[in-house]
Amino acid sequence: MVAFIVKRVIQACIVMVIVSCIAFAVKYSFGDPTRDMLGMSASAEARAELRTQLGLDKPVFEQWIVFVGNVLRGNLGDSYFYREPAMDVILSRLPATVELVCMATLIIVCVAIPAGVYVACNPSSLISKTIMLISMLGVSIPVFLTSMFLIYVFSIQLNLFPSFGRGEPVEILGFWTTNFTTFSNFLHILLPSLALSSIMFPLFVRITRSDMKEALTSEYVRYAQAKGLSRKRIVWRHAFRNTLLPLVTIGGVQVGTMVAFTILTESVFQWQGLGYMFIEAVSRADTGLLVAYLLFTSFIFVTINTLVDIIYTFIDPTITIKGN
Amino acid sequence: MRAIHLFWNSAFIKALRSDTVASLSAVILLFLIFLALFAPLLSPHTPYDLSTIDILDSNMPPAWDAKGSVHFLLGTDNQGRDVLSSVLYGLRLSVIIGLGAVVVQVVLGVTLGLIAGYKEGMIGALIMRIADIELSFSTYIIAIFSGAIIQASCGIEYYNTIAMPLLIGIIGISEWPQYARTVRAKVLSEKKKEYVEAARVIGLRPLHIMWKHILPNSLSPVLVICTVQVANAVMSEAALSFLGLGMPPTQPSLGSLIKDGFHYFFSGSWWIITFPSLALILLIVSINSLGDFVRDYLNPRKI
Amino acid sequence: MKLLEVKELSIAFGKPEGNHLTAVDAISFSVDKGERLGIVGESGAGKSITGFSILNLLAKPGFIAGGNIFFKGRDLTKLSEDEMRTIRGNEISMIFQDPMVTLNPVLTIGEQIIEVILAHKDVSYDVARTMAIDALRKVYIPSPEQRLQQYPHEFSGGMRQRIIIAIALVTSPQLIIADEPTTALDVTIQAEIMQLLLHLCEVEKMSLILVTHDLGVVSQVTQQIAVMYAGTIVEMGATESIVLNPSHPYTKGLLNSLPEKADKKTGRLHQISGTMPSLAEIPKGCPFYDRCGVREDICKKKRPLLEKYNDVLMACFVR
Repeated sequence: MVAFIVKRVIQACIVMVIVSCIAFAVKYSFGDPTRDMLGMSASAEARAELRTQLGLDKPVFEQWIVFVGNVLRGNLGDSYFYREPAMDVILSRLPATVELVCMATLIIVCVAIPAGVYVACNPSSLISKTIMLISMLGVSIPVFLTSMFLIYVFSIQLNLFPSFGRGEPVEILGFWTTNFTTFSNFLHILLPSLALSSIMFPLFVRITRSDMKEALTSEYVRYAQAKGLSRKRIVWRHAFRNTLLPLVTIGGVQVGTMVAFTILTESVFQWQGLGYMFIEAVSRADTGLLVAYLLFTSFIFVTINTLVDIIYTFIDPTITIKGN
Repeated sequence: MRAIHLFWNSAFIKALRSDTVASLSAVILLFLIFLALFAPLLSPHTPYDLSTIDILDSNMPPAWDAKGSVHFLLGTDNQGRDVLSSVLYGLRLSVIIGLGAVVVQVVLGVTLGLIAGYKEGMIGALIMRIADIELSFSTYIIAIFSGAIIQASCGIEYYNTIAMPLLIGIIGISEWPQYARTVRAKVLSEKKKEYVEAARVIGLRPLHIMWKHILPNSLSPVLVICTVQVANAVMSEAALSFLGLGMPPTQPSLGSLIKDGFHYFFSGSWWIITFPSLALILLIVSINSLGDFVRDYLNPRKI
Repeated sequence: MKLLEVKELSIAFGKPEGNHLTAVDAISFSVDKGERLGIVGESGAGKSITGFSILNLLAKPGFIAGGNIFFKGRDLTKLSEDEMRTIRGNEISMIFQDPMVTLNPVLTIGEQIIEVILAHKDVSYDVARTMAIDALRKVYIPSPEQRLQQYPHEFSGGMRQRIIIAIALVTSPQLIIADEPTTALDVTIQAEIMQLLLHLCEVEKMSLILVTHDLGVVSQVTQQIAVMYAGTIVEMGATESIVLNPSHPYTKGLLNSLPEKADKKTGRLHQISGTMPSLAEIPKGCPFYDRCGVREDICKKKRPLLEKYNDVLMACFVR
């Protein structure tokens, strides 16, 4: 068990080292920080002085060590556009994205998974066929079109929800801005999170359905029936409990995909989160912020993937014993 | 003639013909590919030729609208470009990039998968670790990051000039691990079989064994992944273009057309965005449902 | 009144209204209170699905195509799913074939025993837990309190089958249906499990239907035997009569193929030549015709019915 965790953490560190190399390469081979800091008109001497000051005249490997050291201390460099530490820019945008992803996850857990279970239990009902049709279409419609469609129907035609932005998020605990404290803010988050969840919805319906189908035809479910248990208990406690494992693993892997899709969703809804910041940084050629975003999101991915693997060992009783 | 007859009566086509949804998708897909192939001949205007565009024609609704014109069946965009022609050319670009990216994926994935499967040990392990890392990140994010980094470092003008091959490359590179995993697994299981052993005993070279014996046996899962991946590649391209990391406005793919149309959507010019969107959705839906069919056909046991 | 009385039971696969194949053809048998019946036959004879059909647990597309199953006078084929549920695991328990796949891998043993008590008995969780511990003790699982918290994979196959027996017994059912309960186990453990089952049935005065292909096992455990072949019962009667003096050519063949009857000189086992006809090609006449050593012309044309012969029932024209 401990050996497994250590192994996973080492793997995660290796991945982060690779990412830091890429980030370092991008930062120091494509952007010239002296130009960014002093402007185009600065003299060659002033630049050279600054280069020494910044340690840019040192060997590449030493520069990389300095870079990694800074990153480990939470210093991801500066944003050329905002002229402030990139980490601060990221942290100010983080709550918006985290809340969006959480809300979307909540929708998936509360809607897609029960829908998958329902389809597996009643494969021939009309509702099941509708769910499968929706999920088939969901796979095929890009998220930015879903987003626009939602805006068109629910904001423009029905005027139920605001069409873009975060509204006026409330600051709580001194560092976090939230959309969950007031009703009007909550309305703002609904459409974007619905759009974001639409990407994962089909996948989760399909996985839940096929795993449930397999579980429902298994010998232990037949045995549970022979024990005279209620249908509810058989479906949720016996069959569903066995599909939880693959769902958690896939869920963990899909967090990555979700982050990718926040970029698209946020840019349609002009949701002031990390994804929107990223697209702005791209259009402003703000390499400093881009690199910081790359490092930050990679770190989040790797952490979540590692955690999921570790959690997996906790919920799968058959793995626990192997580690011992 | 005989070849057509044989093809029409082959088991695959027979199965396809008996499946309504799949055959409908096939017809739609063939139609879209036809449109894409012959876009330069079919489109009434050339969207790339600035001299034919008149700003006075801008923002015209489709022909069936009272304000529309028969010259522009599906209306015009804000610069006076014919939407129908843009969609046809855009479709062409999307299909080319989608297919091109899949070719890159297959070549990379199958080659690396064969190597990883045949040469277990250091090289194989290294390839699979890279694949794992890529898969643990989302393929989308790899494509978006690569696009963003390249655009930020080369500047947008240069990026635009190399956009098409670049997109093919980016999408190709971000999706190869799936193929590599499948092929490697297949190679490992085929390697144990007697015919490979026999081939080795009679002294055939490893490359020959891989190429002539193992590869043909690994092709059906690769084909299944391919069909779905074409749809994914088209979607990735659309997403990148939508974010401004894809095809430039002067040479718009369906994604860039949607991006442009998005700005005018709220002011009432719905046709600028609707037609490229419909083309994109139709393209992806037909590929996906055909992909489902191919998967069921080649592997009927799997749900 | 018999405890269980199966009358003219037919089981088929397919669509009830459309195409279907008959797997069990109008069989009748009964089990008295405290009696042990063995249903014997080779795989595909329809013995397992007969067991499952009693609890209405046929896997799709199987269904009961006709006949009645009376349990304490109630016709189980007429009960609703809810009523059936109060009988399953409560009045009639089942023991499945392969203990490695029968228990749910992600739930503790304790939960899997306690849930069946709570489903059927009106007792508190604590009482149910005590009952579970007692049941585990009865099947000789050491330190049952600690074992309750463990998962199935922490037990060997033999231990798991003991747990399954404990689950079957814990609600004090009147009848246990055991479907090949020892087939999946190591040979060394088979006898041990069978002895345990026999012992518990005797102590608790429970009836048992033992479904197996092993005539040797059946002869040691049961009082009655029904021999099935291709969906029909070909011979039925008291264990002694059948084992010591088999009447039907198929039963004779089965007994002859036991290891004890192997050829003294060569050490080779006897076997019945040929294979059982598949569901789709069961002949109109006697299903055993193709493999029978004493067949006559009538056997091909007419199906023999189960009729009294000496002190057993037998379906054979050649007497």
